[in-house]
Amino acid sequence: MREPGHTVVQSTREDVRIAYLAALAIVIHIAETALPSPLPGIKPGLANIVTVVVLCRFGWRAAAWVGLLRVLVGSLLVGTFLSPTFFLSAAGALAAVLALGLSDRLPGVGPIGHSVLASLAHMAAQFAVAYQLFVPHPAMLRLLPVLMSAALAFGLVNGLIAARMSAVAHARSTAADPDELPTCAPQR
Amino acid sequence: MIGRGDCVIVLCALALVAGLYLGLWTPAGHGTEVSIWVAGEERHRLPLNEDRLLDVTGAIGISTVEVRDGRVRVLKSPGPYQVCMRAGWLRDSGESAVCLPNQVVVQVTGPNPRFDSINF
Repeated sequence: MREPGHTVVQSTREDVRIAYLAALAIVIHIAETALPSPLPGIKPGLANIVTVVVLCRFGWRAAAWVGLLRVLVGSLLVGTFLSPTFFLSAAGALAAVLALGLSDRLPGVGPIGHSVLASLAHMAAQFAVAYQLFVPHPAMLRLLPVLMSAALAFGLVNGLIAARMSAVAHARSTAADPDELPTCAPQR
Repeated sequence: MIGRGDCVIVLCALALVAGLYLGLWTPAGHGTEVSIWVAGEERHRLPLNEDRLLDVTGAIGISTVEVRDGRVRVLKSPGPYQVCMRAGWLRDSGESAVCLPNQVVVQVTGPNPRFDSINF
């Protein structure tokens, strides 16, 4: 008998799936912190490949969970939680998730478009926060074109990887279950 | 693998990045005028193409401003650290020299200033 007033939180299949996918993204995120970076603010953002694939296969809600959980848990594990890096990262992730919400509604957009749009939004938000909170100096603006070029390049590369991954994942799941819903991958 | 929406997004992104280079990496234009402020009020506005020396009376004395060859500098000022004189020759619009003790600000203005305002 359950006492009145107590609620038992049941984890759904979707919760478990999000936890698995977020864990994958977090591992990639942490592995990436070991990579040297030529300029502060520039890194490949390989964990976002996971977010884009999740968007294509499980929709925006799941992608938003994975993207935001990654930043939160990643910062706790790396030890940057509530540090300036964390706020930059959180602003970027939030903007990227919102951008994915937008691109998910646009027609004919696949992983490459999602990835590029999210990457640019991530960099723009990060830059805005850095500029407003940390270094409000006009010379910072000179850095913006370089940062956005890097965001575009890495967004493209990650998008290509995500496209390949979701195509493979789609082919596998349709082989197992022909009624599987189509993913956002190839649309014209 | 690449949809039409992807192409549109990538092209827009390329245009955006190119626009950023054009907008943020073009050098500032040379200024055409210099405006001289004392205690927050604009006192003089001189064209940069007329050479002249101007004495500006500020809070603690006289600052001498020199305009020559389309440039302007503070030649003499009573402040103890001479910060505004160390700013040297100013030419691009938006550049400025500030004599804080004397409350004199010399700023080059022009058709395309590099920045609207600067905050520290």
